[in-house]
Parts: sequence; structure tokens; C-alpha cells
Amino acid sequence: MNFSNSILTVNDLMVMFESPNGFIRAVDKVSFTVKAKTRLSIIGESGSGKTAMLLAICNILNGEPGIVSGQIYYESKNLLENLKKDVIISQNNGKTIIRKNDYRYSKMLKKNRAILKSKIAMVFQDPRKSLDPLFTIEEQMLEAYKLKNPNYENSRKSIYEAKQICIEWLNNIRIDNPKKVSTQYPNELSGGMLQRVMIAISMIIEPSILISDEPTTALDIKTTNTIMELVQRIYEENNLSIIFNS
Amino acid sequence: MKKVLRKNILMKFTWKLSYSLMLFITITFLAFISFRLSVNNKMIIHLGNGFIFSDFLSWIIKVFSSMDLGTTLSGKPVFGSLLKSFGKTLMLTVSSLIISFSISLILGWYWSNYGKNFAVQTFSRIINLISSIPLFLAAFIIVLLSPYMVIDITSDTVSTVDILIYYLVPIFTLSIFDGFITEMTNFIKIRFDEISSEQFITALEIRGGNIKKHIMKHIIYDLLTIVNSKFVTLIGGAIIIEIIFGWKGIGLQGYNAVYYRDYSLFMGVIIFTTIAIMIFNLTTYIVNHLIKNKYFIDNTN
Amino acid sequence: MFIRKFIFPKSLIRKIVKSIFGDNVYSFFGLVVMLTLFIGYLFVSFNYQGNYSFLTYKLDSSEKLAPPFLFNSQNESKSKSLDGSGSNFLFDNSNSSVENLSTNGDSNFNNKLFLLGTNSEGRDLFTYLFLGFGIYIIGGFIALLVSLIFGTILGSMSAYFEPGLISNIAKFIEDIINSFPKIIILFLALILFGVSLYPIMITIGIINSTNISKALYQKIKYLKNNEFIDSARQLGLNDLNILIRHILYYNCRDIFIVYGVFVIADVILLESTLAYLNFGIDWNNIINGINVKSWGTYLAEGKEYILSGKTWITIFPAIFLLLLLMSLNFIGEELKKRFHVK
Repeated sequence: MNFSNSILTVNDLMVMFESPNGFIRAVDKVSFTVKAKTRLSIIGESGSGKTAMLLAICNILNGEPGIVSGQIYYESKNLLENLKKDVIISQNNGKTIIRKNDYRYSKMLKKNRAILKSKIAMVFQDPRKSLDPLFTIEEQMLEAYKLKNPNYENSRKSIYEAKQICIEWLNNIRIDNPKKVSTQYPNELSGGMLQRVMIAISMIIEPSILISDEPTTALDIKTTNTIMELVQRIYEENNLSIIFNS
Repeated sequence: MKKVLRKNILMKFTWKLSYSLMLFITITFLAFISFRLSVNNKMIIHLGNGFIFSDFLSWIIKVFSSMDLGTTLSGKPVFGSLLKSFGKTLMLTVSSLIISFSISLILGWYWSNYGKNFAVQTFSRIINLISSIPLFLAAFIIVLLSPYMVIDITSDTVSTVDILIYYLVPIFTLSIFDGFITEMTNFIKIRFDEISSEQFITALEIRGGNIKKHIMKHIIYDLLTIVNSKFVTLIGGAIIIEIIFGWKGIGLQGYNAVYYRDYSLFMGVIIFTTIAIMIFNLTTYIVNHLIKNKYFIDNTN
Repeated sequence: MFIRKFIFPKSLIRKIVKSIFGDNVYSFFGLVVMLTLFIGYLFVSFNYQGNYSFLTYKLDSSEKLAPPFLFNSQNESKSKSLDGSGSNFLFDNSNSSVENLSTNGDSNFNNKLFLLGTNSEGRDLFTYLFLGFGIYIIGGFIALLVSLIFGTILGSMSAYFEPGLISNIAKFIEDIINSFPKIIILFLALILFGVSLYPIMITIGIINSTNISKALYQKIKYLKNNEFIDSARQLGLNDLNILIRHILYYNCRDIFIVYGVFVIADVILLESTLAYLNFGIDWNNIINGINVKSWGTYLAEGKEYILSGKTWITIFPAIFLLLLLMSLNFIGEELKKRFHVK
């Protein structure tokens, strides 16, 4: 396959969910490529399998509740390499023969997911559920910072530097009082602020792909405008590609 | 700490303190009434023979001003003899609390991660079996099988192994056989599954962060709400274990009090246990409100 | 007809039957154990006239410490001792069959057969263990009633009248019962009332009412947010009617059934611990008036004889107790899964 200039190529992706009436194909043989510094938007009705596809790309979805088949190449590495043998589909009557994954495959999934570590970031639909309510915003941003810099030491200087970077990002996403906000918990902020914080956290990792799954459906028009402006600005300033879902 | 937070915690703490004091007073009042109704001349002299409420008030004031709970049948003061033996029961309960929580955490973790195995299902049956064994029977068997009766800790020729056996065996029997291991592991396993299917965990997984830290914090917050009831049951178990293993704690003294109809000693036992439980509840309350943020407290209380 | 239709509807019976005879072998095993104990109790208590050789009701001190009939020595020199303590349970295993019963001199005293051996008092364990099951039947029933009634009152009052004085009082009472170890409350009852069946069972019932009240509190609080309560109130039903009919009857039956099983298990546990600590219950059997002691007292009596080899005095009561508790726990766990109660 020709992987020149492409970060992500998806080939014949199928995502199936088990139901009492058989297997429901949420995603039925989708293929696309995403190149560097491009924006891809996926448009569809609700219930058409967009979230399932994105979760499969992030390698979260195999086993329960959904079963994935196909090929997903991230920079010429197949993410579904060890899972090819599990799914056999015969097309005569639309019958599918599937062997369910058990816990052993989760270990292989972890290896595959390690390829994607700190290269993909995902922003979910509901910002209140995608941040841990028991940790402050500062702590969650510091976690992302530690992923980026594995040589992080717990010295006063490096903590100070990390906190400065967090405040810088909070200013970047146009939050008024960054010092106060960074010590607050997620339940004390509004939805728009939280969504922007999620984008900031995902940008601290400096990913090569930013996936956003319906980021603005839970918000009103004004905040969607601010978030889209932010995303546009980030896209122009950094070298990343965006997959956008709505 | 912020001023508003401090004031808030103080107000809530005083409310909780007054509530627990009210509980304490009603419990002692009920015990007082019940001892008054039973016919015993010595107790009437000790407790008074007039109007109940004034007698009760005077008795309570006497207890807390002069620490005088009366004398046992053998003539020793109740307060002193109970105070000496109280430390052992506390040690028993607290250490077995820690051990049982850690055991159930580890078991719940493994059960949620590897839950589809046949081995894990049989393991759940085994835990059911263990929880259905009564505590006294398990302690009885362990005393028979282990060289416990032979150990004399007050002698000079006692080795470290003997000391370890003397202290560790009762603690482990209490932590394993008090009957709540299945409940705790079930609870922890269910909470593990619930938390690991939340969206922030998947977002963390995609980023590649440390999931265990987040799950552990949630589970510890949940366990802090169970600690109170577990402490109470463990004190009840400690009484049985002291009787069987021969530790000189409050439990053994309470049992002897009931056997020989020593009412004043038993009254002292009641007061000591209620005070211990009260103090434990208050400390967990303070710890909860200090550590947890408002979201958690509002959603659980 | 009323009882069958309104208290045990078909769906409920179907669920219970499926939980016992379904996929799970353990709950079926539990049912088998309970049935054998119950049938054994009835059988033993109705055969007071001495129709069977393996049932002995009288206490005879010459028959004390007799071993079970299968484990006898074939040495005649040892077997002909007067006090019957010549053969040991552990050390002289032999393959004696049923035909040799009359020749063995130890466990057949005057043509009596001791299936599980005898006590230090001379009680035949087989009869008295089955007779002692009656304590748990009647005591369990009393404690179950008391805990159900008390628990429902407390739980429903505390949840239904949520921001008010009644709920605070109910929560206060619940906290009083909760903030006390169970054994100390039992000791208090022992001091006051002595060792008799009814006060102890009533206190055990009061102690175990907090499980039911907690579960009911959670459930009713959840149900209160629904709108059917407002609609029922508009139709003119008063609070009590709504509570009993809509909330407790239709929605909380599962909780009663599941927690009832666990309450009975708790009753047996607490009663046997008290019996082990020499506070066991003496009970006159309803059917034939025989004085029966609970299983824990036999355990306590047998403690002294273990090291000398007479282990049957402790093993058989322990086995009975363990089987009963395990069966109740298995049934309870399976019911929990079927009725989806936490």
C-alpha cells in the first residue's frame, strides 16, 4: 500500500455490534485516508455509526461491545494486526462467523495502542463526562504534560514550569482568570469552558491527529463559534490534521 | 485553607458532633433504664432510686467528672481495668480493618480485570463459602490447628515467631472471616466496572495516561463511606476473637460481665464502645470533608 | 385465592423456582439441604414413641461418649468397657458393615444404634441435632417477622417523608441500632431477660432490620421522583395507601424476599455464636415437649474431648451448621442475581 504523505489510512473497516437478532453493522466497509495538515469532516445522521468508527480508530472498541474488522494503518503500521484472524465474514447470505475476543486480546490491544500513544487525541461530546470530577484542571493538564515529557522530575522548578505552561494554554483558549480556574474542579465550570479545556489538554500532548466527536452539539451557538475559532487557530498554528464529526 | 471552607467544615462538624452526642446520650439512657428495671440491690445503690431523668443526669455528670463507673464484683474500679484492655481491642479492629480493605481491593481488582475466567468464577464461590463460615468456628479451628495455646507471651523464652503468631493470627482471622468479604469484593468489582466504562477513562486511555490512579481515587472515596459500618462489625467480631484466643481486651471483660451478672462492668463496656465508635465516625467525617470536593459530597450525602 | 394472587403472583414464583432449579447447582444443593433438615426434624419429632432403633430421645448417662456406629473397633477386649469410652473415633478405623451391628459392643447399648455418636451427657446426636433445627425454624420465623415489620416501618418512614420530622426520627432510631455492635446488644438482652427464646429472637430481629431499612430507603427515594405518586395523590389516595399499595407492594417485594433469606442466615449465625459462648437456648419442642439445646452448645461441650480423640461431638454439629449456612447463602446469592437487588 502506498503510505506516502498519509498519516492515517482506513481500509474496509467494519464495526459490528451483537444483538438478539444477529449482528448489526454499524460501520460497513469504510475506507479513507488522512494526510498531514488536512481537515476531514464526517457528516451523518444520528445513529449512523460515526462514533463507532472513531472509537475503532482509537483502538478502544474491540471485544465488548463492538467487533472490528478491516485494516487501519497509522504511518504504515497496522493497528488491527493481531485481530485479523478473529473475524471471518462470508458474504453469501450475509452470514458472519465471528469469534469473540476474550481478555487475552486486550493485552494485544494495549500493544497496538502503544503505537498511538500521544499521537492521537480525542475530544468527546459531553465535556462534563470527559474530565475526572475528583481531580483539578491543573492536575489533569499536568498529567498530559508528563506524557509529553517523560523526563519530568518532581522538583520545584519543573513543577513551576509545568504550571506556567498550563496557565499559558488557559490563556490561549481565552479563559479569564487562569490561576483561579486551574485550581478549580470540573463541576464548577461551564460546558463551553470545559470543552475548551479538553482541547487544551489534547493539544498539550502535541498530537498529529485531533479527533473530535460532536464537540459542539451540547453547547449553544456563541460557544460553538468560540470553539470553532479556537480550532481554526490551532490548526493554523500547529502541524496537525483534524477529523471532525457532527 | 480558604476561610469559607473552614467555616463550612466547622459548622458541619459541630452539627455532626451534637448529633452523635445525642445518640450517645440516648444509648446510655436506654442502658440505664434497662439496668434499673432489673432487680439488683447493688445497682440501685449505684444508679439511684428516684426519678429516672434526674438520676440519669447525676450519673452522667458523675461519670464524666470523676471517671467513676463503679466497681466490679471483685472490687476493682471499672474504669481503670477497662482502660488497660481497651488498647488491645483497638489494635485488633484497626489492623484487621486495614487488612480486610486491602484484601478486598486486590481481589476486586483481579475479579474485574479477569472476570470471564472459569478460575475467577470458582474463586467467587470460594469467597462465598468463606463468608458463610461463622467467625467463632473459624477461630476455633485455627486455635486447634495452630500452636496458639502453647504460646505464652509473658514468659522469658519467647521467640519472635511466637510473638508474630500471637499477634498476626487473630488479626487475619478477624479480617477474613467476619463475613463481609463477599459484600466488599462484589461492591469493589461493580464499582471498578462502572468507573472503567466512564468516558473520562476512555479519554485518558486514548491519550495514554495513568488509569489506575484515577480508578483508585474513586474507589477509595467510595470505601471511605463504608468504613463506619465495617468498624462497628469488626468490634463485634473482636469480642468473639478475644474470647477464643484469650486476649485480655474489652470483649473478654464484657463476656465475663454478662456471665457473672456484673452490671457496672458491662455498663462501662457499653460506654467505651460507643465513645470509640463515635470518635471513629467523627474522624472519618472530618477526613471525608477535608479530602473530598463538593461534587462528591453533594452527590453521595 | 387472595394470598396466591396478591402475595405470590406467578412471576415471583417463577423467578424463585428458576433461581433454585436453574443453571445454578449450588442453590439446588441448598434447597436439598434445607429440605432434608426440615423433613428430618418433622420425622424425628413425630416419632417420639421409639419406633426406630436409630432414634433415642432419653438421656442416659451410661451411654455417654459413644462413637458413631461405623467407626467401631473390632477388638472385643477394648470394646467391653463399662463407660463406653474404649474405642476412639480417629485411631481405630475399621471396615465394619451393617451386619456386624449387633456384635459391636460400643455403639449399641441395649440394641440402640447411634448413627452420629453421643454426647458427654448421653444425648444421641442424630436425634438432637435434627430436633434442634426447630429452634431455627421458629426463631427464624419470629426474627424474620420482626425485622421485616420494623425494617419496613423505619425505611419507608425515613424515605417517604423525606424532609420532615418523621424521617429524622426514623433515621435517628436506625442510627442507634446501627452504631452498636450486634453482640453487645445481644449481651444486653441476655442480662435483662436471661437465656430464653423469644426475647433473643426479637432482639435479633430488631438488630437485622437495618439491612432492610437501608435498601428500602434507597429504593423509595428513587421511586419518589417518579410521577405516579403525584397522579395517585390526585386521584385521592392518602399517603398510607400509596405507600403500601404502590411502593411497598409492587416495587419492594424483591427486597423482602432476598433480605429475608439473609436475615435467617444472620439469625442462625448469631444464635450459634451465643450458644458457643455458653448462652445457648433451651427450648421445649412444640410437638413432643422434649428439651432441646441449640447446635452451638454441643460444639462448646465437645471442645474438651477433641484432643482425646472423640471428635464426633464437634464435627457433626459443625457440619450441620456449615451446611445450613452455606445453603442459605447460596440461595440468597442466586435470588440476588435473579431479582437484581444489590
